Amino acid sequence: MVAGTGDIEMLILLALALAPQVVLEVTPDGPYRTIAAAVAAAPRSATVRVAAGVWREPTIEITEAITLEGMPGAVLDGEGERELLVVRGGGVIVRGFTFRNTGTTYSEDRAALHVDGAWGCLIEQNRFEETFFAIYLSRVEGCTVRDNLVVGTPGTESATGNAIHSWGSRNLRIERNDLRGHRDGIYLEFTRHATVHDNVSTGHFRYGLHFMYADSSTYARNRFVANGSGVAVMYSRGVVMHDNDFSGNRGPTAYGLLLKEITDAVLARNRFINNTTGILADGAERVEVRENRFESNGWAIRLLASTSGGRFLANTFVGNAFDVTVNGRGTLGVFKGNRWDSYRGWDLDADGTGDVAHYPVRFFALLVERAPVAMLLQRSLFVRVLDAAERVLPVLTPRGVVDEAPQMLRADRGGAE
Amino acid sequence: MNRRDAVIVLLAALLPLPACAQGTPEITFDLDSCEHCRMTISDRRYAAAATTAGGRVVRFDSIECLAAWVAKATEAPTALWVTDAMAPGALVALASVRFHRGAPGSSPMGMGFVAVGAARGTTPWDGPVLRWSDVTTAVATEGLGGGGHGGH
Repeated sequence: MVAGTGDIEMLILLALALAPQVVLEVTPDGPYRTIAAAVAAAPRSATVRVAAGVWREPTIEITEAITLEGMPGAVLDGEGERELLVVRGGGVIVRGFTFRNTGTTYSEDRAALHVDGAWGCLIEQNRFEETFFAIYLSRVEGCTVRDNLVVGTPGTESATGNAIHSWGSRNLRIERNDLRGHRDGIYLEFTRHATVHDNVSTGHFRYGLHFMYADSSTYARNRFVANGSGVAVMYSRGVVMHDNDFSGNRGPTAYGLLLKEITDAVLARNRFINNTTGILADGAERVEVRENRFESNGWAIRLLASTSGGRFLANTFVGNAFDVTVNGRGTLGVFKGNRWDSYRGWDLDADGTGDVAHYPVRFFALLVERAPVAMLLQRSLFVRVLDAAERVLPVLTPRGVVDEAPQMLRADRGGAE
Repeated sequence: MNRRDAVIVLLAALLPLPACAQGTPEITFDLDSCEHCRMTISDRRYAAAATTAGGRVVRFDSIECLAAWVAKATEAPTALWVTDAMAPGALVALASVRFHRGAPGSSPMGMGFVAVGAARGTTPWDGPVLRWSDVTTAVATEGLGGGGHGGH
């Protein structure tokens, strides 16, 4: 009888399951007194279990497929001067540690946990405190980073790296992490096929999420709240972002979401609430924006003329100073079936769709886009007269953006769906 | 919109007003954004700037963004400024530095270009010394981000 490939895999799995689990204990009293000694002695598939206590050792390097597990209270302390753990090779699991105190440096991207050239790793349930970069993945394939807590150093401003940083990697899963107080919460560069979901990323000095050259990735159910500049996604194709919160990003150059040179993306069911600008699209091509909620933003959507082929469908706009602005009179995309609290039309046949088209770009918005200082007039009698004049003389309203089938907001005018 | 929101929006509106181009430009980190790629300028080792004949200061998050902007600039730059990475946070004249190319992914746009004071000795970025023309040529031929494709 010849065994098939599936049979062989089953046999290997069975052998692994039946193999005696090798556990190497690291405690102040032995059998291993340093983590490095236990790691060096650990055979493939072994577990190195580290007791509670503060461990100060030279940078530890793992090259074998082992599990490094911290018991509650196990702390790796870099004493302000070094990386703590470097993982190379495949199948490494790191869980349960507190990583602390790498110190800051301008001459290297120093990380508490540096995964380099590895595959199939799992980084979970760790805590990172006062680290320059917390988790740095370079040239990694198929790793999962989940359920970690990363807390920055208060008041360090730019003297910090990113909480989770990836460069040149593929097939990552980044999920359920709580990230606070770094330069960027999650930064993916030259990283493809990443799945980023259910993370909280807040209070970062620059971006809650930032990626460049990161194609074919999905971002779902994350919360990007109160970051210095919001979220910036750049130079990427095939991105899907759905059910995320982009909120509380306030500042002169803060965006709920900056789309820079983004092609073929889908943004669905996200919430853009209380941002200076909800979405700024610069060089965005064929981006579908549907079923999102834009509420209490200065600008809900700003489209620069470099943008084309956008589709804005079934979104809700409530309480924004400006719903849509464009920096030109060209047609930048299709708007259809959106709900606008600024819509002044009617629905005599009660089918839920407004009977007249809505032109969401106010004449005043166009003025502000061309001469920002005109914002000084925002609350003035002049602008109120201008708005009234637009209603009487619709010819004043820019025609480049039109929603031919605006949906009626519910009678409570709150826009609840 | 409450009063605080109105002030924020007002500040946002005023920000693009031309700055006075006298002396060495300054950068407000984590607030100013890059003229070329729009990223908020944060990493103090790589910031750059140009002053234009019209008196405008334009700021960049990286040397490669400066090079890309210069190649397409509609306003003639009168001076170019970069950061000596050994003294992060302040701009110096482009003529006072030498350039190196660090590891891919190390600079904000990923190409790895870094400037250090021409008179400095050993630095963490030592390697072949590059001229400004080498930087502009690499940016023109590889495109921004060209340095990162050597990765995985």
